Amino acid sequence: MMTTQLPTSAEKTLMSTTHHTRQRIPTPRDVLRRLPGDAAYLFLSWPVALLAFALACMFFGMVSSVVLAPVAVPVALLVASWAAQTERRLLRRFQGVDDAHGAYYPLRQDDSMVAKAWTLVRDPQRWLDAVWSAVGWVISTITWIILITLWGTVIGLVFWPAWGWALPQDGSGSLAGLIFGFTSYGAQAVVEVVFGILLLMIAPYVTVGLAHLQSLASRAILSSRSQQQVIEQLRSSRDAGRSAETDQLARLERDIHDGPQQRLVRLKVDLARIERQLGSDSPAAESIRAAIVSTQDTLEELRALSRGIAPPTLTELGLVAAVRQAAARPTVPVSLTTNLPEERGVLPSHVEQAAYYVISEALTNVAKHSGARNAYVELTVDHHELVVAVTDDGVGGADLAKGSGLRGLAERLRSVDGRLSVDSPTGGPTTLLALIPHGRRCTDADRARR
Amino acid sequence: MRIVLADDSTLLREGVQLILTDAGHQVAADVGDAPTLVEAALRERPDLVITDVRMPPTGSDDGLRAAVEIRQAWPEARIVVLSQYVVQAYADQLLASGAAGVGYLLKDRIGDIDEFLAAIDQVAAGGTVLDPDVVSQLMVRAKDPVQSLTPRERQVLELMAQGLSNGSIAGRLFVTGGAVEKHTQRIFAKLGLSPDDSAGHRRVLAVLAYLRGSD
Repeated sequence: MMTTQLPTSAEKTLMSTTHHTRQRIPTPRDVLRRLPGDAAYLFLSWPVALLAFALACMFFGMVSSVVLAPVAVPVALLVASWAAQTERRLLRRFQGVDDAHGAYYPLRQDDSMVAKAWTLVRDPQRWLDAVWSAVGWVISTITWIILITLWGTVIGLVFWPAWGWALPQDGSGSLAGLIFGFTSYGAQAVVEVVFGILLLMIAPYVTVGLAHLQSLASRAILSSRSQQQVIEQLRSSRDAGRSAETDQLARLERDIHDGPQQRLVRLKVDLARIERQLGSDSPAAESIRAAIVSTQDTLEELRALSRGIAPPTLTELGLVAAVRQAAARPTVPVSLTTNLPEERGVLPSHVEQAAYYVISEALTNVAKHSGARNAYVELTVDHHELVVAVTDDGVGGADLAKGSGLRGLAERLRSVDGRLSVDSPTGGPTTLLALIPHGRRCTDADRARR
Repeated sequence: MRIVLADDSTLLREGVQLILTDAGHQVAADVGDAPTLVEAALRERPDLVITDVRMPPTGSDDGLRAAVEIRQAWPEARIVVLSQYVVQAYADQLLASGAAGVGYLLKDRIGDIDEFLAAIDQVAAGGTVLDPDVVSQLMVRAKDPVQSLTPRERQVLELMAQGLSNGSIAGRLFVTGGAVEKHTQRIFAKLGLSPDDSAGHRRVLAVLAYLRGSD
């Protein structure tokens, strides 16, 4: 393949996201490192959510009035997305979530107010923001209460000796008194501080856990659409890359055919004419004959080369004919079964090329290594995938981990989202199975043909 | 004889033209694309048409389709198709238009001048000529009875499938005509073909039909 498999920046973002969600168990050091950011996130998130919820409620409340609704709804949506954007900023700043972005329909400056309002109202992202201003408020209220209570208690317990004197000294003002019935100030102070320190050890974990839960919920609602967009962009750029590659290879093959190949044939013709004119008893005839042989060898090498680039049979006659062709080349007899129609362009070209590549490589391996007497190629297309199976009755022992050829095949298949499996016990038989998704819906005509 | 020649590469067309005129043939028209070829062949009604497969306008198998089209309009046309690659399907399509007076050769064979000239003579005379590569591909796929042939018989069968007469086979293998005769009898017996189709394109057809039966 000519396209590189290096991840684009967008892909990296995606990878980091998946990485983020599939975290390993945090060590105490991780928790401490995250604690300030997570606490700040939880602490700041709630006032924003509260304000957003209050304002959104107010404006959505006006919807019942027919007159006010056309103004109230867009304004409520604007409030919701202001709050959503603030939450995204918090996510980016304190949670290190760099893909927290909204995917909004652009508001054009020169549009009329009505057009702008309409753009707001039909934007799914804005409605997701509105959902978030309700859901987010509930979640962040809960997390905020827990956060404040927890740390308030920790502080209160740890510093009890400093303020405990202000409480009634009958044991009702301390945990030590309530649980153990201690009334002595010193005993109460010691127990309170011990409880405080215990709680202090747990509190960071609770805080980090709460922040994690809240940011998961926020991201699910607030940045799922932009992630979806990134995925779609990646998919379309990958498709464009694939078809550009296929086109380029076909052009390269054509250039080789039209240029060097034709020239070499002509060269051979000219040499042959010279040989005839000289007569076979001429002393130069021997060297001319050698030149003819080497021209012929070059031609054959060039032909093998361009078969590897973009087999002309594949583009001209389609996959089945090309496979038939490939099956006729090795010395081992090959039989082919398929449910594909014999015409070109049945499947997307990158799928056909990958399938052809797998089959011709597999057959080369069969001829070279297997010692087989027979080989069978099966090409089956179903709703999702093209299934390629190449079986031989040879000695077996082929291994994906060992052969670099098989690894190359597996990589080639990965580039088209395909999979390769090899079943080859020692003593044979060997079956090589490749599954290539074709992303094309079967038409009724296809189904009728089967 | 008079020949219409088609190839989109001027370089190659010139080369072939030189060989043909050296051999005393006359090139009635040389053209560079499929529609012009059909038109020129039907206008000139030459003794032979030689065409490349890959030609404009689409640059795929236009030359071959032109050949089939010419044979439809003029069934007696004698046509040799040259191809950069051996494509079984091309040979099949060509033979489907009637096996008498057709040839399918790899382009490189032009360089073996004597064989090339012999091949076009044979096609012009109504024979069938297939490239050895096409035939060897057929042999690979052939059924068990072919495996039961002796190596020499396989050689003879390959040459028969290429369209060679007993005389030419004898010359190629440096044996007598009588020996080839014996081999062909045995081959026909082993494959269960009727031996009375002793010569000409009918024999080629019978052999090809047998070999292709393994599909």
